Amino acid sequence: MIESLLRRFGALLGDKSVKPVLVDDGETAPHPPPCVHLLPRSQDELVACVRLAFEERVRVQPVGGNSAPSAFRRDPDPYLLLSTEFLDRVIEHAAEDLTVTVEAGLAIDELSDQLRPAGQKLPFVNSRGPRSTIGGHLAVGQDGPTAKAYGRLRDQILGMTVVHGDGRVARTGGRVVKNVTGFDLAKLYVGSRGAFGIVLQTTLRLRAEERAACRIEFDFADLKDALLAGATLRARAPDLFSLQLAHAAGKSPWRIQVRLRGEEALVEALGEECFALVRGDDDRRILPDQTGAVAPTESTQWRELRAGIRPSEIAPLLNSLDSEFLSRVSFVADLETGLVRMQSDPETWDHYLIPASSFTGALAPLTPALTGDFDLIEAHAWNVLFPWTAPTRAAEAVVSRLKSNFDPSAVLPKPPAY
Amino acid sequence: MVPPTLLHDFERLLGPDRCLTDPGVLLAYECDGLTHFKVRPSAVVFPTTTAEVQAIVRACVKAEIPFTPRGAGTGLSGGAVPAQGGVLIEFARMNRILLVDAENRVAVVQPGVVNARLSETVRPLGLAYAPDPSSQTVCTLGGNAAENSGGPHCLKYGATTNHLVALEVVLPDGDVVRLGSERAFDNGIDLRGLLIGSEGTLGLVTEITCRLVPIPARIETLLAPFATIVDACRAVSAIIAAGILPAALEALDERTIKAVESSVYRAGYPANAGGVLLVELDGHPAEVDAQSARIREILLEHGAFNIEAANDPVHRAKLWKGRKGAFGAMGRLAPDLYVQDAVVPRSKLPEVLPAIGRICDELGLPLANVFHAGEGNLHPNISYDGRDPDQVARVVEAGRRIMMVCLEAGGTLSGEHGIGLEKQEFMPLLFQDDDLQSMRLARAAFNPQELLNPGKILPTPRACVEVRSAARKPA
Repeated sequence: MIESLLRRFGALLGDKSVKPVLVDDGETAPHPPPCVHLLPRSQDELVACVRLAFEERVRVQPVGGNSAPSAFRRDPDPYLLLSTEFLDRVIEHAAEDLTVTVEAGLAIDELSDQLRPAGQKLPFVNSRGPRSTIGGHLAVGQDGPTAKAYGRLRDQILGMTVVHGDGRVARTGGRVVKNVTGFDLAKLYVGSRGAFGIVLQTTLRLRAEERAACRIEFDFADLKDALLAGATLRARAPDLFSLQLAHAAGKSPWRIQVRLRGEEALVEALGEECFALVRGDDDRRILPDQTGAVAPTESTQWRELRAGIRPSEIAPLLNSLDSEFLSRVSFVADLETGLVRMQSDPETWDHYLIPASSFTGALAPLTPALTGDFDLIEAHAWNVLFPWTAPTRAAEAVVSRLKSNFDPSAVLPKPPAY
Repeated sequence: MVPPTLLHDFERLLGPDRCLTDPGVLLAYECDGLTHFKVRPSAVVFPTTTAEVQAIVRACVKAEIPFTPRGAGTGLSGGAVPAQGGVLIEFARMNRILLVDAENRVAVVQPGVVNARLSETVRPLGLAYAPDPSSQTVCTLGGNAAENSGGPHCLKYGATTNHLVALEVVLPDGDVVRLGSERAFDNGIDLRGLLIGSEGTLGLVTEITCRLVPIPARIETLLAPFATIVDACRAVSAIIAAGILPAALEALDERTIKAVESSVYRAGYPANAGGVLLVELDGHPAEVDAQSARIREILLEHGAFNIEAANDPVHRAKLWKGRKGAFGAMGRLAPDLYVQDAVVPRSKLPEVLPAIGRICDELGLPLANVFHAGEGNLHPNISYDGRDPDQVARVVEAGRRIMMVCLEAGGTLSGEHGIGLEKQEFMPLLFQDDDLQSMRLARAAFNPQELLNPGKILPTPRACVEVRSAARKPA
């Protein structure tokens, strides 16, 4: 089978662009199935690969920077690992309109470097490392610490071109910042992990780099004091760029982390207000801003749970969690958006979470007050995604029809749990 | 026509006062705010609960009768025009605000709640609902969801899709689904986002969870008159290029100013101006003050005669009165008003506006521009007499040519009014067959029988070929 695939796709792309590989995704996961790594040099070549895969009924796994390993297939059948690595062009940077059109395989960090001289930036941050690509980021679709100030990732997409599972290329949206022309299919593609189509290129909204930025940290020995400070800031300082509660595994302090961005006068005035609201004039800690992850993953072996809950549920959640468990996890909660990330070493993860068949069951003993009452976004555990809330049958049916309409031979990845 | 058994079902379900069939009464429901397209419905029904909507939909499906949702009927693209022989489902009586959760800054409402009423309700809590279409005192949140409505303040806050975090939807087969979550920052497949802006063709929204925003501590509105609207647009480009994102950045041209100033919407705009900009800044006082200083500098550099700043609510309301009343003021100039809606990259405004002016001059039509300049969202308005077929033909031709100019500048067909019936024929000018086919496939996944609001947005495949051929002919 592998030899046959190598031959057929070698004829399409040339032998240099077709390689037999085993995926190295940095995970201690079950051994991945055999696959053929395709490295198309252009959008046309990538589309030709999908068309051939459709004709041959061979499954395709799109891959960007290989930085979201949970996206990889774990089924036993051979498949095509279709790389966007060479789709890395900036097609148009309309600096005066604050938009950029790029190919999907362009690395986020590289694009950021190209935008910087114009004083512009992407309205989201790269939280997956230097290899992470625009296309991969959109396929995974996670919101991050810029969500409160700039809006959600899916709202930053002005236009998109994708190839569907049958090889048809379709465009949605455009290059303007406001658009209600036809269905907004980009909303469907973002976060669908390539289930309906592989992103070829996209037009993104940009932001001007703010004139001033800083980060202020307040450390608390007691979780309750940290929560109170967070609640005070949320209620009385609405212009913060972001407001997060963080805790690093094995370390004692609970940290309220505030980011300020904007005009110099704003950053200065807001900083003063934050100190006045939380702690008076003593113990000031003002740091340069780094918009990336507050508590970066300690190791690629660590497991992560991301959940979206109501901001008002964060305090009850933390107060209900087992204190020993809490001391062993890294925890970041965005107090404005309710986005929660919890990371732990594999042993802690296994001890507390893995034995249960679903996270609803796993977290139930830890969160008696909140059982079944918050939405799991995703969790990486042996790269399996667990749905937190059961999808309704009617919604599943719509997703299923969308899948079969856009990918009639099911060559593309399965839709994420809905 | 609707079969008598279906009407009987409706009357049994809703009672006679919530099921209209009198042809005289039905006249009021044959069009929306765009009066070019008129189809009288066979019946209009007024549900008050999700269960009633579900029952109505199932009855229509069983009888194979098309059905169309309608909010306040303020749409401007014919999206709420019923199908021939179809039923209109009017949501005006599903108008309850079900929950306001100030701590989590969300509200749960029925779709018939009027946009402005939500902001009025949450104002005492220091909160607001951000999208503010011009019709916000009348239009409903369900209609806003269908159209992904915009408004002046969407420049900073985003359009409706950014503010509706969850929807309860009756699907075209009568099933009920919840899409999205009030715990807003999840990811995965976003059927909610696909449904918003689908012009009532994918599902009927029966409950909406809206995100609320804190009322800014400081709001300042600047009025800047210029010699020409093109000068004003150059200032807009400079503000955007400087990386400043005001809350609103609106423009009115000379003809609009004159119409406003001779109407009850008089706002004191300078009579000698060829165009004015309204710039609104909001947020922390330190941010507003700093941005205001930078923007004033840019405005004066680009030829503003002077700058009038309003910091108190009464003064601000006065400056906004002309902008908000512009369409009403222009409505007095002729029996009919054609409001075009298109978007161009904002840096292209200085070249596109004169081109639109030339089109209307050539066709002998009076043009007035009032638009969301910060987003490049144009609203060329043409006053005309709809009783005169020649004028109507010229207005239609102007609309077509204006569309072509905007598309050639890298723009799109609609920024906030939608496609509806009005712009279906232009879709092939922007999208290829495969693009349109993808949209059809998406619609088919929700609405396979096409009984829900049929004939909107997407042209027939045959029409695609015809329109592209026509577009190639010299104007």
